[in-house]
Amino acid sequence: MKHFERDFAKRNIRGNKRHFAAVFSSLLLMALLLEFSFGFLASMRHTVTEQLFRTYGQWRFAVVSNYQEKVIPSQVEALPAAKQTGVVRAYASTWDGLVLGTVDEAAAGLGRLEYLEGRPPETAEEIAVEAQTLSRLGYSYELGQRISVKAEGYPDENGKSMLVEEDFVLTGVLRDTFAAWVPQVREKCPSLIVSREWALRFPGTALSTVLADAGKEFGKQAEEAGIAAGIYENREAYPKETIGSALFLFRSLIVMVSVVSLGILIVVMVLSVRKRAALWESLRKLGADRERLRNILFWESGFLSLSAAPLGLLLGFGAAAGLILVFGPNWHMEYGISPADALLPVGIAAAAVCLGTAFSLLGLPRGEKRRGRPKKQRAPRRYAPLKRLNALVIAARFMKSRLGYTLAIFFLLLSCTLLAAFVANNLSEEIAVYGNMTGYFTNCDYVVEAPPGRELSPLGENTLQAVGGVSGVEACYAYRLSRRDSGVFCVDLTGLEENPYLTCLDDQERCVRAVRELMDRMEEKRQKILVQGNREAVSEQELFQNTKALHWEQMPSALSDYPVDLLGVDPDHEGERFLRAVQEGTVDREAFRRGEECILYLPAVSKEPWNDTGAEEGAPDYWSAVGGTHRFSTDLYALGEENPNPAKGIALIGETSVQPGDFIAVRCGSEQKQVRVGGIIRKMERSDIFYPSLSQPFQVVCSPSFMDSFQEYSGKGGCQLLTVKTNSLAGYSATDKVMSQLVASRSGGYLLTNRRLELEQKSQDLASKVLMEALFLVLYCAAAFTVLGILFSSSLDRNRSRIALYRSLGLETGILKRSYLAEILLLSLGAVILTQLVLLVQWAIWEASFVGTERGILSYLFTLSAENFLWLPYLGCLLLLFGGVFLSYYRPLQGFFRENFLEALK
Amino acid sequence: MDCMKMTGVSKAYQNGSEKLYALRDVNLVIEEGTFTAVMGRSGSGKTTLLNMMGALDQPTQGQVLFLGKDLGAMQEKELAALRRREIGFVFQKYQLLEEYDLWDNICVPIYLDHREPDRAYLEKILQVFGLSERKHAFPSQLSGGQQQRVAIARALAIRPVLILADEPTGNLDYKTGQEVLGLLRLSQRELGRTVVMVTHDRESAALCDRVVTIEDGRIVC
Repeated sequence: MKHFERDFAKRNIRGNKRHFAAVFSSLLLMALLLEFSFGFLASMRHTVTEQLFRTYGQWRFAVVSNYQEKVIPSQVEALPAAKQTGVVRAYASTWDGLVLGTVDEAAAGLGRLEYLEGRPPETAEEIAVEAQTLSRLGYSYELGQRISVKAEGYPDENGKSMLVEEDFVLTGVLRDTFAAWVPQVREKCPSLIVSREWALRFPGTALSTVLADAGKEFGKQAEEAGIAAGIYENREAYPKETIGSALFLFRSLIVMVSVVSLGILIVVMVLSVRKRAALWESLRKLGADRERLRNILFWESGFLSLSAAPLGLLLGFGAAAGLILVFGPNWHMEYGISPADALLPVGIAAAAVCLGTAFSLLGLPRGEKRRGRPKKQRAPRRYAPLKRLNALVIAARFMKSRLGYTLAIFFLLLSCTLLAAFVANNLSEEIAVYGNMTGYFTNCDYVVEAPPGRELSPLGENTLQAVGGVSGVEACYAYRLSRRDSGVFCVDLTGLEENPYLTCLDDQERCVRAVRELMDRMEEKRQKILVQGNREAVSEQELFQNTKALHWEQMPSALSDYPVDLLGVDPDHEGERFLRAVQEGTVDREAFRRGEECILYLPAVSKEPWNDTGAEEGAPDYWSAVGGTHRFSTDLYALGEENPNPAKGIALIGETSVQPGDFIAVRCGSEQKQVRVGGIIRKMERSDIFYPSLSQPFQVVCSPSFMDSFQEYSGKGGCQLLTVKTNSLAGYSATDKVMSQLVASRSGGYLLTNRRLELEQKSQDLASKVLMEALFLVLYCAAAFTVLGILFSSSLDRNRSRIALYRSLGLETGILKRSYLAEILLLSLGAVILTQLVLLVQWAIWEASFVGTERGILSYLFTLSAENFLWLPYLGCLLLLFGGVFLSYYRPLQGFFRENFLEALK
Repeated sequence: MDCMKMTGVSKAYQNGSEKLYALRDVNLVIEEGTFTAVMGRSGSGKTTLLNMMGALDQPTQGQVLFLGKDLGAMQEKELAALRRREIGFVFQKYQLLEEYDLWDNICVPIYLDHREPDRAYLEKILQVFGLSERKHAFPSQLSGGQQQRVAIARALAIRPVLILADEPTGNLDYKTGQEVLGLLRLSQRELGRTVVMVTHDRESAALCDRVVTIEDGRIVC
């Protein structure tokens, strides 16, 4: 027999299947977990990378021409670090900064340009335009329409520039991409893309930008090659730091599980060798030296791993791929396991097997040392007399007598408890955070506010959708109009018959005429008219002087300094909140939509200042980034408050002074319109208030169509509320960055961020994370308990003679069975306690390192508090463990007693 | 020539501050071609003595010469080679490999030595031992006596100079035990092997050329 060791290993495995089941299972488990973990991680990494590429482009470097330094694309292509390059050429720009140019195929790929509709231009008459640009130019997305472009070319060496004034046919609508790029690169990227054919005909100058997919040393090589143009690195798409905390978390899990799995594998293999000590001794006596025994072990490991590992790797790959393909869309994940990612765990598994085999050699008998000091013998064990044997003592003795098995089982349990504690810890922390934060949620993610007196260019839905990391948008436009030259008067015309009528007193003649008409048409109705205008003018009116029971509720002139805010809201979006919040009256939704009815919001203010949770940098000081808060305003008074200050005016409008059904005058510039008060809101819940300007004395909430009816209204000073849906695993910060760039470049307003986006995403991430972690935990525990059952079964065989001895000495079978229950309890408790100690140490290190006190780490270990123990998760963990171990022990134990001690059945 | 010569051989174990001697100052010569019985009570050091002879154990003091070669000066590899080629073992519990049939069990030491078995020689041994027709049977299919015969055949397969038998009849009934002893005797007389046998049984010892008694680690006679 040529290869005796190989043959012996094969026969040994075949003949001792039960014995090798533990090793096989451990190998299978380890391979499965490794492949699953790495596959999942690869997909997460791929997802985040793809999202970053989609948002910021796949190019790593851009070499941008300026007027002084023009880039020669061939020079850039020739650099060794450049893997792929594409050229973007800018030929002209419009007066408002839109660039006309070409994008070659490679650049389109590197820039991740996508067409929402249509195709790239092919002839000189064709053009493709970015979606938002089309909107800005006032065009729809209809393909085939003619687009007029008026632009000026870039100056040549003599300072002369060509004019472009042409009509093109729209062939494609592009997803807005460039908005998120580095500004210096973005400025030269065309949102109006023409064909190469057009470019060839264009006699003017082109500024080239070369996009390059290149290695890190590209910048240095470009400098050495004398390329002096601007070289910009796409740091957003290639972040130096690890991508997101989710990847870090999962990597930690992988490391922990891999280490513990390796430990289990080693222990199991060593035990397997030690259990066959008699066999090795026989072979040794027959002339097998250590090398031959080692060869036998290597062949054994080889056969076992060649059968277990591929199966485990395949199962793990299938589990990861299946999970992502089925649940990935819900988690916003894409499948992305490359061959390299699938093979990496193979290498690790192979290394683990070699390590396990090397350790198992420790179990082989060693030859006696040559003459030297005499071998040390262990002192004899002292055991308690037999009469003191109870289940606990027997359990302790059994565990000590088969220490290797006990250790293997204990480490298995420890890995389960560590994993469970990890999951429970994360879950409890996250819930606490979210529990505290829900009270501050408001209904939008971003507010884009126009600077005072300036026009806001609203961001279109397509634009926002097109930006990477934002998959859906609910945009609600809220127009805000603040006028500071108006006052409010309420004229009680009770007793006069009238139809609701709007009057403006600035135009006295018109006002008088209007009221007279009103009085003429009145039919036994008692109405009050809230009139906006000048007090003196009103008081001089004979008409009003002659009305019965005229009740003046007039604002002092000082009140005219208070702006009356007109808030236009879409009744199907933000307006819904106001419609719901109406406390007096019933608003007719359709009338509201048509602009015939409005809602009066007369806010009360609490005597306590609202909590200011801190403003985001750059945001107006009355708004903070967390949910939106209000600065305490001394300008507000509770309605019905004692001793109201008449000078403030608001107190003059008592709770009964304005009723639903009354009419008010609204002025915009020189225009004035009337609108009926459909309902009144006295108080809104904090969570419903989305904008701090609602701290003003009162607001008139109307529909956009009412506001649009003012010819003079130009949308200046408005704001846009945006609710976005992000699918980025890279986190809310990526969306924030994109939004900042977008708003700065497109809308011209301030961007105020509501942390709700972050928190919602965290909630979603939490759900995904918890599901992922819980799934991992369940899979791992199931596999671990299976291996545990096999190990326990093997260890039972070893204890056969001892058990027989105990029984022959009169010990009841019941006590023996209870001893195994005691063993389960001891091992489970031990694992949980050790886990808690590990967490305590972790906590102590955290407190000492980050809290910044001067106490030593050790002192923290003695500062035990209830919250460090997370009782509920640990109770659950203990029950789970106990139950799992019990189930793993049950069948082997029953089988053992049935086989060996028939009386046990009675 | 002396097959085995032990001079001043001691084997001690440290138990705290105490030294426990398994063998004490043993001087023993085994001549080639003899059948020697080693007798003694349990714990007297018989197995330790056998392990010394079989190069499985090293003395704390003294020298063990096998065919003039100092076993103490050899490396583990050389000692293992010795056990594969020149020393055959017969165990009380046979220690056959369950996964191999009779033929392969006999050839195990040869396989371990990466040599091809001498078929003719082995067939002859099987014939003498009455095992020719059970060549492909597995140990579980053999009786105790047959298994012990296989074990002896395995020891003889390598044409050893020395056969060490540790209570070879301990697990056998009287009649079978006598048969096995007869085979060992045959090995010594017909094949010229040197046989050292550890035994409790005086009748078995009486069949030997020489009886060595060991008591408390010392050779008494």
